[in-house]
Amino acid sequence: MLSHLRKVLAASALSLAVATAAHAADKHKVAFVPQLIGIPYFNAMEAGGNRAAKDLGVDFIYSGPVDTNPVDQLQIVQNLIDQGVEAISVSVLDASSIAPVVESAKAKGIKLFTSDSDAPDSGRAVYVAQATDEGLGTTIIDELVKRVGEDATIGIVSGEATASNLNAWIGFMQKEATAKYPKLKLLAPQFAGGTAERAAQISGDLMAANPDIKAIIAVASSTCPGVAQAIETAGKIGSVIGAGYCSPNTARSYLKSGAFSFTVLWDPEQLGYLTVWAGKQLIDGKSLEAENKISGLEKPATYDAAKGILLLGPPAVFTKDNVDKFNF
Amino acid sequence: MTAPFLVARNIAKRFGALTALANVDLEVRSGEVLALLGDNGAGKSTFIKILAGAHPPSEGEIIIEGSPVAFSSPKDAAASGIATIFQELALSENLSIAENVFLGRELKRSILGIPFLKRREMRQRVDGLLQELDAHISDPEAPVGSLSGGQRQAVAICRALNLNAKLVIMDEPTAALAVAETRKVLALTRRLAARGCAVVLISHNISEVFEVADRIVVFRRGRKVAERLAAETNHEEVVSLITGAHPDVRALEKTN
Amino acid sequence: MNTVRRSGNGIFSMNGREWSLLVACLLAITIFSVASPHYATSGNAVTVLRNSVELLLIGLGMTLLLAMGGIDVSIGIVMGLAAIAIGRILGADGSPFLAIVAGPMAGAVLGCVTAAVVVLGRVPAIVGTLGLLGVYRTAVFVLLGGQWLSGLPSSLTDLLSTTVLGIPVAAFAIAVAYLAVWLALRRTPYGLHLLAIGNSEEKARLSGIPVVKIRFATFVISGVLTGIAATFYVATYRNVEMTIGSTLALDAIAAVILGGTSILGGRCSLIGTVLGVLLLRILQNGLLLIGIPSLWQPVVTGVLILGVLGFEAVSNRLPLARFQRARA
Repeated sequence: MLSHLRKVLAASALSLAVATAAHAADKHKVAFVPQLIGIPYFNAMEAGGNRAAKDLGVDFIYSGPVDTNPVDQLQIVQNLIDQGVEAISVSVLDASSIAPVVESAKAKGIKLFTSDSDAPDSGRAVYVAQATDEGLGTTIIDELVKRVGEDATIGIVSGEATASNLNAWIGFMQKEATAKYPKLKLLAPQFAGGTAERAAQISGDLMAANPDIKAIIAVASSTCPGVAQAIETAGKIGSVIGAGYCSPNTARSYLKSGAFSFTVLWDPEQLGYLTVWAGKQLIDGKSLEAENKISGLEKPATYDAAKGILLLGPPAVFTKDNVDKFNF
Repeated sequence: MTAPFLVARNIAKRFGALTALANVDLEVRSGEVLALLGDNGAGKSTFIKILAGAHPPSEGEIIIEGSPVAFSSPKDAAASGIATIFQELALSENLSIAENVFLGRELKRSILGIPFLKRREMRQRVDGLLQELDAHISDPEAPVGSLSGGQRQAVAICRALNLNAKLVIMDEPTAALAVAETRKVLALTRRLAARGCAVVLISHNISEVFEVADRIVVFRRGRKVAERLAAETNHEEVVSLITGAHPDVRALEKTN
Repeated sequence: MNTVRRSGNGIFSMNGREWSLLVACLLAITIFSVASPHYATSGNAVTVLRNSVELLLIGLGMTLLLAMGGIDVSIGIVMGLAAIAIGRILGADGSPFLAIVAGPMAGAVLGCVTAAVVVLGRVPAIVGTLGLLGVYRTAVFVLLGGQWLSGLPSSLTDLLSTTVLGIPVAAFAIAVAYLAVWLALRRTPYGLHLLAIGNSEEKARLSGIPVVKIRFATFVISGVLTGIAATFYVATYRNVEMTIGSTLALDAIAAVILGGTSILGGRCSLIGTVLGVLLLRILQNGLLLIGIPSLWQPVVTGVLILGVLGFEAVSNRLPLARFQRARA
């Protein structure tokens, strides 16, 4: 019943979006379905998508669930398919359940691809990656070791246990730790869902359970404020450092207070741009080069044909020194 | 004879196209038990709901102690001294006896503008009423849901008395009771009248009615078809009035 | 008809369910203390209590709503909206005193809105508040405009984390709220009317109880308590995220039902609600401290509720209960 309500809301927002888009008549349509609307991260992707749409002369449709609910997300994708949007990109919430939707898109000749969060075995056309999962996982561990040393206990607080991108990053963190830093002790990941309250509670409990903990990694952007707040509340600024994958806007005050040492991410505005660019290429039937110079982006995007991954570039590290240069 | 407590004049009630009640004239006197008899659907229940303020009449007027009244809710009727004990009793099973007796009219004292319950006084008043009615209830703090049917009737009657009711309407008070409990409730009914209350009683049990009622009114097909003093009629006549076999009723129904 | 004796005639008097909850809490604490050396510390006790503050306040209101035969599944998002009001005021001029007033005020206004829909609109509470859940959620998105409120000034935190006579302000607030709700429920006509409505709205109306007024007031009281909860939320987390409060309503309902309040109305236990909240929070905290991933915590909660309700269903079928029902 609850999710039905959400679907109705999302569907009405969607039909509104499509109605506005249809107004501009005859342009190619590229859609992006985020995991959750209304958060700064996906807002920045939307902005990049709009910029690309203008540059490339396509219509850009942005619509997603109001909660991190995989079923609602699939419903929205299915609606876009039914309305004949030619290229649809999805930041996948649940990789295991998207394959049937990809099938139904293919049957209609619609290009369905993933962006931001992948579903590798779903048969999607391409995955537009912000950074490799490997790059993100290793970067955060390497940066942490630089700050707390090799001989340290580190906690991990993630969001939804079903988010494939978050799980992939955690996997590479663990791999990097085992391979390069045998003394580093990574605690089992904890899942806070979407709320800062729960993330703060879990972080507080982690610090209580592990008095020797040196750092806590906030994996989902929604868990960053909770982790940082818990470190501040526990009076552990300086002795426990927070780090995570969160936007400069979200982390800014925590970077400045010292509760957070750094965050690792990429520029989602650029990712949104690349997503719409990729959608246009797919609609036009153009193949992707190993290296693609795109006028609207800062760095060339590399394409791995074997894995079907179009990569934005290496991840960026934000600290209190450079955070004010970004606004997302 | 004293003036009647309540006079109902030319009362009619229609639900859409359906006429549930027409041209009912009735007087209710203090200190007297008036029984309403009639088949299912004869209009007794509709009539008492109008007296109780639960339904407004479509036509006619109700006069209490000489002045016409118009009830828009059970609360209005209660304010005029009419208390109704519905068949389903309208007791809150989760509350205690005292809480039920005072529900909606609690005794309270104001502390800093907040109304607090006077719990001890309410308990004492209810204990007194129960004693007066000779109703024995072992645990007055128990929720009413754990009481027997007869005990619940006693609570409902206490509630009516506590409202200072001058007219108590009882809708089939003995319908679901065992023999011993029935006797107690009938005794309670007489005691109410002895206190000077007017009592209107609905019943299906004619022998019971002869046991407690002073006057008997028979309803049939939404009309009042007969009124008799209990002392001047008998079981057979009342049955024929209810079934419509009585010549008076036949004559009446022919003319209409 | 349930013939269980009403509990709570004394301010802390307890019935069987409440004793079993207390035993469950103590049992959990004992097990966790044995299993983890970090569990039985004063710091951790403070953590558990601090994590319980919002849920306790919201739980008290939810107890009244359920006792009345009502419910409010939107209450978590109501807290979110009140938190936005508080956060905006804090962000604008940082005055903590204005912010303290803003929470309960916003809660009262939202309580009026909910009451207007459910009580005046004659919509079943579950349906009406589900509808409002969607509306309030969207309002959160719109009000936050895609930007979380994070890194709010610490003035409110400083004010509410002080102690009076060695007792934290939050503990005072909860004690006062508990006392006020208990007095209203057990010592004023309002409480009797509320329970009568919960037993049967029709009978309550026939008894001359102002049903509409009582129901309206109860939604407003619940709103005010939720507004106070929002004040503590903002003080604790200094952050208002998009998904704020999304799990609170269900947690509150779970705690209240665990506490012995009937989901059908007419019977409630305030002390049971307090113990229910504490049990939930003790389990959440303790499971993590003994190393069980947070992913499993909802399972434990769910099993607990099913266990309690199942036990009740079975014990109601025992001969004694049958005998009592037959009498009733």
